[in-house]
Order: sequence, then C-alpha cells, then structure tokens
Amino acid sequence: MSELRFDELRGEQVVYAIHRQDRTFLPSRENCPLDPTRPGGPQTEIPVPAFEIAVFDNRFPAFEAPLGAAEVVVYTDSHDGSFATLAPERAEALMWVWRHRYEELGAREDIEYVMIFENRGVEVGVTLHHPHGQIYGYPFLPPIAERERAADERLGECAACAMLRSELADGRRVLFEDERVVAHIPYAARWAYEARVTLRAHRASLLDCDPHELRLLAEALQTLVRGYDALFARPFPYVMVVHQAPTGAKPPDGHLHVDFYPPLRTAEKLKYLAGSEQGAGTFIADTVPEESAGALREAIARAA
Amino acid sequence: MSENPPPAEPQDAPGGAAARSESQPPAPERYGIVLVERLVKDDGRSLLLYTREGANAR
Repeated sequence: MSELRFDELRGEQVVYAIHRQDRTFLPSRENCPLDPTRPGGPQTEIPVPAFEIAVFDNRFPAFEAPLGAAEVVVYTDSHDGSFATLAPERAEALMWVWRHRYEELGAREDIEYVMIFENRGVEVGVTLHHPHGQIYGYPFLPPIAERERAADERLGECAACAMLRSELADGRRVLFEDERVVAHIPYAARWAYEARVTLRAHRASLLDCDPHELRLLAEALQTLVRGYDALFARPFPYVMVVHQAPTGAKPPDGHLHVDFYPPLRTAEKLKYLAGSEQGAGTFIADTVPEESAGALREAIARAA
Repeated sequence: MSENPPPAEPQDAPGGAAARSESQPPAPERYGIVLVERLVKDDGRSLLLYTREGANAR
C-alpha cells in the first residue's frame, strides 16, 4: 500500500510506492507480460490466447483500493506497433474503453480524479514496449487538475473554451481541425512539440461525447502521433494525458483535452527539467510554438 | 507503464495469473461499441477484456 505525504511548503502530495522499486524492467521480447498467453508459451498477465483490448489492475500499483486505483490498458495483443499503427476501428474502440474506465473509476467514493495516460519511449521511462497505456485513480485532486479548475474561476468561464477560441482566431499554431476536434500547439507550450487535441464543444469528459466525436477524437490522436513519428523519421517519445473533469466534484466540470508532452527538441536532443523547471517551476523553451507548429504540420502531411 | 506488470512466468508455474475459471461465466456486457468481459485473476486482480461488437478476437 502506498503512503501519501503532504509537503506543506510546496503544497503538494507525494506518493511513496516503494513496492514499485522491483517492477518489471525491460524484459526480453519473449517474456513480455502484456502478450497474450499462447498455448505452450509463458503465462502472462492476460491468460487468454488472443484479445482486442485488455485492462487489468496494475501488479505494482501507485494507488489501490481503498485509496485509488492503478490500471494497465493493453491496446492490442500484438507485441509490435504503437497507438499510431492500430487499425482505426481499434483506436475508436479504445476511446470507449477509456470512457468505460473513467465512468466506473470515477463513480468510486475513494477516487477524486481519473487520469488516463500513455508513456511512450525509453526517454520517458517506458520499460515495456508492448503498446499500452495506464490509468490512475487519484484519491485527491492533483495539482494540474486543480490549476485547470482555478483557471476557469480566474477567467470566469471555461479556460479551455477561451483558449481554443483564441487559437482558432490566431491560427498559427493550429495543426489540423475537423468539424468536432482541433489539434494545436498551445500558445505557451512548455515542450518544443507539445500538442493539445481539444473537442470544439464544451465536453467535460468522454462521457459527454457522442459516438461521432469519439470516432473523430481517435482519428485525430492517431493523425497527430503519425505526424510525430514522421517529424524526425523515428518513433517519437511522448507522455500523452487525457485531461477530464475531476470526478470528485459535483457536478463534475472541466473540458476534455488530450495533451502530448514530448521530450525531444531535435531528432537527437532531449529537453531536461533542470534548474529553472525544478527550482522555480518555470519552463525555459528553446523553440517557439509557431515554428514548431509549421514543422509538425509538414510532418503530419507527409504521414497522411 | 511501462513498468508495472511482472515478467512472464512459465505457464505451469505455481501461482500463475490464469483467470479464475467459472462454470457459468457471465455474459459480456455491452458498452457503446464494445463488449466487456469481466474476469478475476488467480491473485484477485480484475481483468477486463474488450471486444468490438461483431468482432471475435478469441
């Protein structure tokens, strides 16, 4: 069981999950725990010979009942590939899986905030290459969600709606858009190729999206990741986070958006969180979002 | 995660993660375009298998 400690000076929770120290680290391909369990093969986390999408309780959870949850979401039974290479109908199904988990975990009394995310690439600490993501159910409202809620109060309206209006009016950082979804690099992006995929309509969570929006959201996310992979002609590392309304609030409010935080600033150079970022909480960027958006738009076009 | 599941174990290893066999497993639930099958692993952890309606992965 993890332990929560609150740092009064920084005003933040820190989670001590010391049992995670021994979690699996880069196993050999034949010992991937996220593969299906094939006849005659090793027993894995998923004891069936084939599956489409699987979700299970993390064996080394950062959070667990009665104080939160940690789940693993396996996108496919194929060891190779990525979110970008999933068939479009599988990516669409994944949106429904995310929706289902948000609804079930969010209904729990011990969970205040449900965060769906994917870490991709060893550059962000991935130790299993099988395509997968994770879900954390936090027993408290984490700082980023708290800041988003504070932004709504500060602006007196939905901050995500206001920012999207501004981005569409400016246009320089928009990557692509369709009738329901817009992808752009935020005006004040922290990372060189940070991107945000937002529903045009005010949708607090995946629960508020209609089936058409979920299909277009999946399509947009895949378009973006394929563009990322084309940008430097290499698998592009990122942290992808689905931001939704806190489930502990009644009624839950927020604005669904999916953010990507890629650590690469060039094909070979990583952005590190160093003195200013860690000591002052202020990001120093080496690129401007408008130029990054131009390069990423071209990459997305090449990947289409 | 990248990180969290354990290494795969030999299939005949004691304490493997096989789903608990039920004589009458519950019918999959429909949720939007997917069907949800709820299983429980031998160690008590939940396992959900999602299949697009009309598809047959297993």
